[in-house]
Amino acid sequence: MLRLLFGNRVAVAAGAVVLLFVLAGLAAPVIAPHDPNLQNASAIRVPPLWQAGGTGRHLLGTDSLGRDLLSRMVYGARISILLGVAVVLITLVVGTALGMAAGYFRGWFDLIMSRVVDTLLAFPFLIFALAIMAATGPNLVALVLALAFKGWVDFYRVARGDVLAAREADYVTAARGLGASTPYLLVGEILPNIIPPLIVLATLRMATIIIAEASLSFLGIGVPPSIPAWGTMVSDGRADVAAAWWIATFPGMAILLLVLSVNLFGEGLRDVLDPRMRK
Amino acid sequence: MSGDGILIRADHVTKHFPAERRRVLRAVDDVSLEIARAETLGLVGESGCGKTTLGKLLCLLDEPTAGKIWLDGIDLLGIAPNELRALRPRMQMIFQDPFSSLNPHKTIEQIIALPLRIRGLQGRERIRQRVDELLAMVGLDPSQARRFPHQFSGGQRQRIGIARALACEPELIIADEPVASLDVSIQAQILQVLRDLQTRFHLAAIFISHDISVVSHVSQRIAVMYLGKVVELGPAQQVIHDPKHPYTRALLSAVPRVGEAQPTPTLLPGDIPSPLAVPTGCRFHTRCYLDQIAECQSDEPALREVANGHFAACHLVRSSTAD
Repeated sequence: MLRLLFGNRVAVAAGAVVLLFVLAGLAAPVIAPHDPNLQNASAIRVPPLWQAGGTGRHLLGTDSLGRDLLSRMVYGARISILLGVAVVLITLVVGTALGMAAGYFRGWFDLIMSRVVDTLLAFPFLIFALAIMAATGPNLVALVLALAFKGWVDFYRVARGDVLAAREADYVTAARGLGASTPYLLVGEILPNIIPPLIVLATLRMATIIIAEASLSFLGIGVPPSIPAWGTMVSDGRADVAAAWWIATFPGMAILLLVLSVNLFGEGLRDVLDPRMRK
Repeated sequence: MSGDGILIRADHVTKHFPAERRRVLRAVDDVSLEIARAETLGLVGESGCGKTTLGKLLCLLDEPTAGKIWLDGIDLLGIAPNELRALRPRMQMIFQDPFSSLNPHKTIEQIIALPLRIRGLQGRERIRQRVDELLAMVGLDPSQARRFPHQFSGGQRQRIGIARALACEPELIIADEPVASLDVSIQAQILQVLRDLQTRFHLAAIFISHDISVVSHVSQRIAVMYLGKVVELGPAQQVIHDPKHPYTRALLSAVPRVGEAQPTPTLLPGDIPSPLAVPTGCRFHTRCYLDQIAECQSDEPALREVANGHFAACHLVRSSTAD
């Protein structure tokens, strides 16, 4: 299986890029040459090293408040990935648990859950998150909940469908016939067989969450301004694009590159783990 | 009810599945039978006649729509779910498809250890030892216990399924076409394993097959099913050599013989009717080749004793017992 994954060069390259971002985020305090929030009135809008006026002190230049862009970038990677992982983990666990319960027990629980899910699907995700964040103001807990609010639905649907099929499998019937308890059947027999597509979905969802977080931060209602985030940085540099292109461009490219890599890696993983979902 | 040697008893067991457009699929219709301890009952019929469903009902892997099932005098439908769970190891099913009945993500050792743990066996070393014993009992090399199901052949997988059932120390084995998906050369081996273990542990067994000749070798009694109903039930030799129901006769005429003249097979016209639309009266009348009487199309024949311990559900069969 690993050999198959390594055979997919695009996925390997994408995985390497993702890994690079993760390492940069993890090691942010070590890598960052400056305090990302340190303002410096004497070094405002310093261009990147290779442009006229650039300096080795600020490899990627500084923003309109004199903050070092490279430092803010690596700290931005940290918060993007941290939020992405947190939201995906929450939605994966909640969605899978509810989906498995609905698929296995059917009955009224399934009926109610299916209506809830249909209703949630009718909400435009970003507008909904926007409404929540506009009400609470930028704050990390609210942001995680807003992003997770609808995200679990995808995991719910995949888990429910796969459990519907798996519960009829002979090996599950056999285990039931041996006298195994229902919790054991769900966790011990069914779960290991439905996990691969859920992992793939989690990877792909990660990209969506990163974009959504960046969008909310861009609008100023995502990550609190005290924490450097790519979305906020793009927004900060937007007005100055003509005079100082680098302020908005670097974080924008980081978002593009990370999301693209996560997506490509997820698709590679899908082709290896779950042939059914292949295009 | 216990004490008379009856291990499992089914009373008017029925299973109807709801189908689309409010129709009802009558998979099993009013079946009553009993199996004594250490007895083997062969259950024969064409595919789709409800024999697998009946097998699952008898060990409560499926819940009947109506009827009662007793195991050793215990009303299995009248007890709490956790009581039923505690009784489950006493009746074990062996599945038709050895490729779907083993969890692909578990090693053989994990698969066979599960029933041991459920029955309260503790200690890694003791469980491992018991797994090895069970594997040896079904003719597998215990050193392969760490492998996964896909690394075994169909016949080996079926042996694993048998070892798993034995780990429960059951009193009843329900074998659903255990050899149908195997190569002919392997079939005899698996049947032999089953028979040996059955004698060794005094197991009662229900042996489900579409092949009456396979069943006749292993069973003391045979039940013939047609469209969800038992149409003939009797001692194996009597059913084979003196079949009463026209359907059984047709089944037997199709069995190839060696060393004796092959009778002209009785070919039944048409296909088996859909269990969604069961014919009125005798459900076999649409394909029956006997001269029918009016009752055949209007009244459902009951299973009645036509010879000692030999039952048939047919208006046209004359009883050779009392009257």
